Amino acid sequence: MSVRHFEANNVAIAFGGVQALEQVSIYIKRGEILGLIGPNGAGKTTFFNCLTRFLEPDSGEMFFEGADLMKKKTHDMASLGICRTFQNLNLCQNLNLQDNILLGSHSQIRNPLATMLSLAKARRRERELKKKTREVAKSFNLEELLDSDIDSMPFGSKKFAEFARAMIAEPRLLLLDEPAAGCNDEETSAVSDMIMKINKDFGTTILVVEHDMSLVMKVCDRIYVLDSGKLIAEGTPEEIQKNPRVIEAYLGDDFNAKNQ
Amino acid sequence: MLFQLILSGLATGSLYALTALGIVLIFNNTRTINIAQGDFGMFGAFIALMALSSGLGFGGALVLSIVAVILIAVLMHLLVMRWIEDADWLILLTATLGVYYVLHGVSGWLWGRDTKSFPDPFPKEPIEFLGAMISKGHIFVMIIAFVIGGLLFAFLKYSKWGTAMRALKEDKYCASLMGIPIKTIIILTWAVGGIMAALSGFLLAPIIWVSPGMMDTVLVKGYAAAIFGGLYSMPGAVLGALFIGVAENIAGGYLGAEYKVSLAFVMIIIMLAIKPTGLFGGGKRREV
Amino acid sequence: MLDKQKNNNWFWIALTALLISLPFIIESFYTYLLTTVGIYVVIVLGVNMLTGNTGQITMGQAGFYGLGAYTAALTALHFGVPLIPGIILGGLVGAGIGFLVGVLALRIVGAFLAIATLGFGFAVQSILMNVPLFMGRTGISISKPTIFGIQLQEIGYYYFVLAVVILFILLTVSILRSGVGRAFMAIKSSETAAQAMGVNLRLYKTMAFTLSAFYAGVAGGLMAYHTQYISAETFNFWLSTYFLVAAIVGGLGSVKGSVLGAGYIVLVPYFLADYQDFSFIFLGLVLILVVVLAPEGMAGLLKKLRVRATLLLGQNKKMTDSNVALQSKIGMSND
Ligand SMILES: Nc1ncnc2c1ncn2[C@@H]1O[C@H](COP(=O)(O)OP(=O)(O)O)[C@@H](O)[C@H]1O
Ligand SMILES: [Mg+2]
Repeated sequence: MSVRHFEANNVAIAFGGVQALEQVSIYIKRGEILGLIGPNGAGKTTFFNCLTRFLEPDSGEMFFEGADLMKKKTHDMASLGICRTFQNLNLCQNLNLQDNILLGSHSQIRNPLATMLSLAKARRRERELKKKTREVAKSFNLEELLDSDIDSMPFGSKKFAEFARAMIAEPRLLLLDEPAAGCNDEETSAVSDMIMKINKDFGTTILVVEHDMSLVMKVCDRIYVLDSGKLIAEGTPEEIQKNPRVIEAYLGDDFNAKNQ
Repeated sequence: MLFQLILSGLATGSLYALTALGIVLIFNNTRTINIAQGDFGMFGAFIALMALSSGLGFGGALVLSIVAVILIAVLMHLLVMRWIEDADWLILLTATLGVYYVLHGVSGWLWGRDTKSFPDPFPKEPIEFLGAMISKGHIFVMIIAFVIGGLLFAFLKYSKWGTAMRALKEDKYCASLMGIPIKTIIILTWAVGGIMAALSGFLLAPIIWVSPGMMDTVLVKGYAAAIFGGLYSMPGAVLGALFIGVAENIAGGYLGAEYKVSLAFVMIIIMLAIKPTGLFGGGKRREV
Repeated sequence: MLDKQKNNNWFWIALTALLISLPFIIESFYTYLLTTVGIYVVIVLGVNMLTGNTGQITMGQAGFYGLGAYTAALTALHFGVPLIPGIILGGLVGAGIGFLVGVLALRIVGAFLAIATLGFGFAVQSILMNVPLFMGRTGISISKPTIFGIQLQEIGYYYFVLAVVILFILLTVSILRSGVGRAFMAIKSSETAAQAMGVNLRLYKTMAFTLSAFYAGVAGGLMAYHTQYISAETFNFWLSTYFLVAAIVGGLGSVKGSVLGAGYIVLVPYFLADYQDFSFIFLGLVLILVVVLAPEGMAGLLKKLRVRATLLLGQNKKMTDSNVALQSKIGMSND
């Protein structure tokens, strides 16, 4: 198996006149925590959406463990071993926490008909999954909340619920889209601890997209920087912090923010 | 024979187009699949019939029916739709279904369920047009429908309000930032939708006559037409309506008139099968 | 949680016991009416699973209902197919056609399904009206249903329908509690989340739609034997909307709601039969009120009532977690 667990070559996509991604090429090594950072509107979410096949890139190719992702559909990702969280929480309001987490195990349904009829085998599997849900929930400190509605959960728990839902499928590549968005300092540090814990305990390869620098600097082994759809830098956190182009891109962003 | 079928098909098609335009306009600005759109027109036709029988001329009857339907449409917005503005489209559709029930019930109660004839405002005698015989009325109807469509188009394209409406369709949030009075525009949307409905009811009345259920199949055809534009595009909806008018007339001429409604369904399915986003739809949609 | 479960079971057991004893208590005409309600329960369960749980709307369910009814009636008439195989065939024909419509109409957004099914309902009715095989307005008469060679009378058929209803309620509960039901509900709440978790949207939406068409086909078959006469006029747009109204007023996404809604949509028009226009106005106004003020329908109102009653009766000795949660939800936590 090559060290390149995942690779993307020359991915490009435009929306109308906006070139959201321009010849983006990255790779991820097995077991690493990779950061993809950049100012708002840089195209990070767009890259995620191309990877998970929510969007069709205009050109470029992507491979995961040798599988050609361009030939796959969004709903194939989970069974391939790729799971994601969303920038804006995307839990199902009409399901309680337990069912939300269980939804993450959807790709294990082999025979929908037997599942619907709750045949003995399907029932046994459901029981096993419930047990597993309990374990996963425990590792994210959500055990007490399993029966509650999503509405009634505190913000931090909702964040972790998304993690749990992704992790029950035991992904080999976990994609996190701005996991600290909307978090205060305390929550941010809990999230970064959790990211490192997942990586260490399960050996999961992780791609973190972040706008906020501090979390990325803390957890990532290696970082790519995206600005206006183009990769402008790659390196370890220390290298990135010193890179003048990165500083410029972020300063520009701050400058814009102040002028808004 | 074929050319004649096409010509009168275009005439009915242009009437479906009025319904389809109202449907698309309301859907674009409010996300509402309006099941009551047809019954707006039905109600207007009854009002016009009342006005006519009390001695008013066609012009007066038309104005009265337009005013009444605008009132109904705007009231529907203020009393019902406004309160669920942000709900799922499914809820919005359901609410319009409730209004459909009420309009049906009220018109049946006020005017009875039987079908009533409606005098033809246009001369019936046929004239020759490029070798085909077509009634003068059909030509009038077609011209009127096209003038109205043109007016609507010009209104959306060139007037201040029309431009604002289109901005709203693109991005509600941005529009509100730009200082566009969203609330007023939505009321305006329902009013214009009402005008379209009243006109199509009035112009169809002499052809299909007046009863509480008169617009039911027209509604289906209006939606079939709207699908041609992917529910979003007005030119698509107009083309779809003309196409349906012609196709059903030809099919009616050769197969028998009973199958006209089935044809609308067949077209919806064909359209969805070959180009699900509509003739003018497409492009990337915002996903996550 | 466990408490709630027990409560629920008691509700269903009591209801079943009542329904079993009813024919001995009420007039035979009301038994007939209750049978109608039961048949509507079957179709509304399907509509509710599609609309309430999966978030897709159907405006042409009367089409599938009609296909089921004609399948049962025609196979009985021409080939002497008995009751049970007849209604199963009805369900399968409904499901088959539903699958075809679903595959085509479910490609993009849910709104297209609403419109396609709207057209479908009208198309089916015009075919039933005009293709000679279906005998249009004249209609088809069939003889009383037989099971294993025994002819069912009115009460017998009532029990048969009751059994079918119980079977379909169990089936529905089983589906909704399974991973498939979870996928349905995820689709309603967030298509993107569902997809990212591996739910094949098109497959599962088509499945939900096909299932609802199957329920409708079975209900149609039941109805054909119930009235022993069917004609094309019955299967109109109104009927399609009735099923939707039943699901919404009864309570979207709730099995109990389907049962309540079916009762509502049969009984209200029945008692207002002499005032049809007012029946429409009433149904329309109630629908609007429910949509705007009580989107959880009758089932939701019942739930609130129960919580309030529990509070008033001062059962605070063992406030369960779920009670507390419910309480805070309806804004009574300060009491
Ligand atoms: N579906 C879409 N349609 C049109 N424009 C889009 C779409 N998705 C993203 N964009 C545009 O692409 C650019 C990159 O956006 P995004 O990937 O969300 O940035 P980031 O996640 O880095 O903040 C932005 O200019 C955004 O407006
Ligand atoms: Mg983003």
